[in-house]
Amino acid sequence: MKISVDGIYLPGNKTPIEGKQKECEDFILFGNLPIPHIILCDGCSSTYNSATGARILAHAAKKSLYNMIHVNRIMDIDYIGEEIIRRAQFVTETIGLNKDALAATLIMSFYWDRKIHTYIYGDGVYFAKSSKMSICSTINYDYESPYYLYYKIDPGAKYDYQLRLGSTELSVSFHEEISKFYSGGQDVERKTTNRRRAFNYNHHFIAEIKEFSIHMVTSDGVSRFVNKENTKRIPIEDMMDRLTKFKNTNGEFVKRRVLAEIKSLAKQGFDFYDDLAVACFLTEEDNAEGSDSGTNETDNTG
Amino acid sequence: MTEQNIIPPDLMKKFSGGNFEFHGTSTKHLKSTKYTLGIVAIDVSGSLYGFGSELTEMGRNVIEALRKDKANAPNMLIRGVTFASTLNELHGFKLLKHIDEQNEYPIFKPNGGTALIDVTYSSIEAIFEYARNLTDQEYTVNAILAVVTDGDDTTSSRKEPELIELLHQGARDEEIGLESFTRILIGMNTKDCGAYLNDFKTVGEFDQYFDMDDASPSSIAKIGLGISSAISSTSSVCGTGQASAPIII
Repeated sequence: MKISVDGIYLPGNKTPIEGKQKECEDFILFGNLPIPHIILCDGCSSTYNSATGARILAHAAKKSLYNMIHVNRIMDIDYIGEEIIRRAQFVTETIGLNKDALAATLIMSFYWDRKIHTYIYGDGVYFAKSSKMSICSTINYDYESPYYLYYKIDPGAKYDYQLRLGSTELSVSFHEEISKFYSGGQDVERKTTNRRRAFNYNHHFIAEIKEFSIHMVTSDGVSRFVNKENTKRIPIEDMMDRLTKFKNTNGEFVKRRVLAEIKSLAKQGFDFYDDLAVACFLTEEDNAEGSDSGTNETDNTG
Repeated sequence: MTEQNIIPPDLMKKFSGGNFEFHGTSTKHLKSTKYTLGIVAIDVSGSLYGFGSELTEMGRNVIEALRKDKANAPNMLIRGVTFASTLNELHGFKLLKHIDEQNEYPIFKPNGGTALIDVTYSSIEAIFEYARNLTDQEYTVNAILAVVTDGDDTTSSRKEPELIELLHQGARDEEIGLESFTRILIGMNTKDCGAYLNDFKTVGEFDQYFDMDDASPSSIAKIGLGISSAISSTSSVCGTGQASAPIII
């Protein structure tokens, strides 16, 4: 079994915030060593230095992942999330960066014991696909205000966040959509589930490597492809399906697919209005053509 | 063993159809998102007898110079051809690390006529076809063709209108998907053929024509530098949608 991994992050056509440089606040690290992994961060566009903060958070997460591998024990999502934000906090304090620069969603996806584990802190999309079905899990927060790991180290900001949501108590404040598409022959069945959970619930998805050949994670920018004429948006499930229709699976397979799809959508009048980060694991049998055979790459950025 | 010496057995794929035949690296071995396709076509007709070593050295030096462009070298696919009465493919579109210039550029022995229209037509066709193949696989592609010649066409089977038609067809064919296609014509010993080559520049829609006047070793060396510079420049803009800047020889 070979696992290829690739990713890309791109700045969207955002309206610049006054006084703030227009830069990509999404960031990705990925690689095959020591285990196949993806780390994706999406910085809050309304805070200063969030692009830098997203990068610090991503590297802090990478370090925690390496520690987990070192002790050869998968760690609880909440425990490792705490460790990551504390490590990132140390860095920002050391270099004198504003603490709220760490306001970013974090997605960690990694291979462990024949499974792909995906931890999501904040919003984002996890998409798994096989030849027979696909599962699209979209985490959205009310008022587009994700709960960041950063709130663990800033109680005042957390309190303000809860006030914004209309309650000072722990409350249900976001929903999750899971869509399953079954395709067998001519029948396609779609099952959608909406759930609501506590705002600080961290999502842990587990999928058997043999059950799905594609595991893709994206930032919420994937939902911001908008038609300039009629403001129509492309549904997330549709976008994920498009982004996983790889023509070939060598090397930078995600970059090629994403760039080609953006070009194609641009011809149809669609543009994307938020930063976009996309990364994917692709599993193939050992004798499959056109795949990377567990390359000796260390970390790559998109 | 260096990486350059590791040649996968299934590296090259043969493309043939209609009137064309060439070789190109299989997409199985192309890992990047973007590539520049470059063809260097070198005249080895009889009128260049005595300059075989210099022309060979020029071809090899182009490859070596391109390798030094660390930023862009991994994204270049270069094809080397020589032509006299007929075209000879030295090597197909290859990544620089897979080109063995010592063996694939043996000392040329200039002899025969000059099939300038045929080699230009064939090279453009090869670029269009290979680009179509890569574009279909969602690679971003641009291209450059450099033709080095000392003279009038004497033996081509194709005529100039066919070349013009090929270029127009290519411009209309979206499946080819080239971001840009730069064409450079370089004339040597142009005392007798300069006027013809000036006209041919228009026929082949070459972006630049360089009149080198003579075919001295120093001129040939300059040509090599100019070609590698042009290919590097083209590669540096691949993915931006822009054409490369004009070069100076």
